[in-house]
Amino acid sequence: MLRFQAGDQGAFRQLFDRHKGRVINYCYRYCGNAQIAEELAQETFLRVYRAAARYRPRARFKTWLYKIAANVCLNELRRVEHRIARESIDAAGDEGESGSRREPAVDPAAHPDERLAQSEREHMVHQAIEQLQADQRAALLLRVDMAFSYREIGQQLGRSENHVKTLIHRGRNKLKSLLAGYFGESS
Amino acid sequence: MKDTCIENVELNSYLDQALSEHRTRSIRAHLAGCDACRQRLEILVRTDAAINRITPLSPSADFDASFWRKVAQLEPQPSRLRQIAAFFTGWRPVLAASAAAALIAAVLLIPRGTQAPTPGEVFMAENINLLNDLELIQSLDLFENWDAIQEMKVEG
Repeated sequence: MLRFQAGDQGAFRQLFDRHKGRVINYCYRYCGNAQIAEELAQETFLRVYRAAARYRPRARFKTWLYKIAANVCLNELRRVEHRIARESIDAAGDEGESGSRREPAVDPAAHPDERLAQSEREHMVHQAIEQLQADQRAALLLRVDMAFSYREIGQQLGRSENHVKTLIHRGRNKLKSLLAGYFGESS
Repeated sequence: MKDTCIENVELNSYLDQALSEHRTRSIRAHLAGCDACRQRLEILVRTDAAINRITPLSPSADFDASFWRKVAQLEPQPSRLRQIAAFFTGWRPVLAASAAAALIAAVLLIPRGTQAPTPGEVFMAENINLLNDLELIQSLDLFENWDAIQEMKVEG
């Protein structure tokens, strides 16, 4: 990042290539839609690109990167959803399609029944995550998916560590209740 | 759940490795002997695993290309110094200087019409040093009407 600040464009390309996969998947876990996830991930890297002059190495670059990603997901999701919905309706015309929803490929070696079951389970998990409050969702994913500490998550979301602890506790407990069927038991 | 069992919030923090080393050791010791707390912890672990088992998404074929197109559309923002310097180069300052010169020339050169000075103005211009004796001047009216004042005194 410091090399990019100094004018080395290739350095930004390296950062982009190194982190794009995880950022896309963080956004995907957050919103549950592949197309929207890619839009949010691109917006994250555009903001990194534009904010390069203001970057100060006070924390790990990854902490800063996901601070931007979390805030993009929190603040831009609605706008991106509406825009993609409009584009889908315009593109579909009279066919009434709701737009593309590219799903990740499940294990191709698995039995078809297992592939279907896995797809359904993941759909259930996505639906459960979407029912969490936005900040609970962000905090829980930063902890579980990206393994950031409570302190780092506090820096990313602008919250105290105690508040982060509460967000994660409540988010995880709610998710646990919503996924009772997923586990095949009552919560 | 026994009174000694671990609170939900603390169980979450234990799972997230967010407790002190001392507290972590005592919870670990409790878990070794408490089936109920171990089961509660196991459910939290499986909740996290459900998130992590979501099949990873690979970037679409067009992801990189469309991103770099967006970057190319970003216009570089000139620095503040460059913006100020740009204002003083080019056609704008030449136009401004020309307009100012034309205005000054209009004020100085266009005649506004002349009138002959009044006798009073001529007197003042020739005796401008009388302003040094302002008190004398203010008394002039009195001297003008001196005869009338003397008559008033005689009558009074």
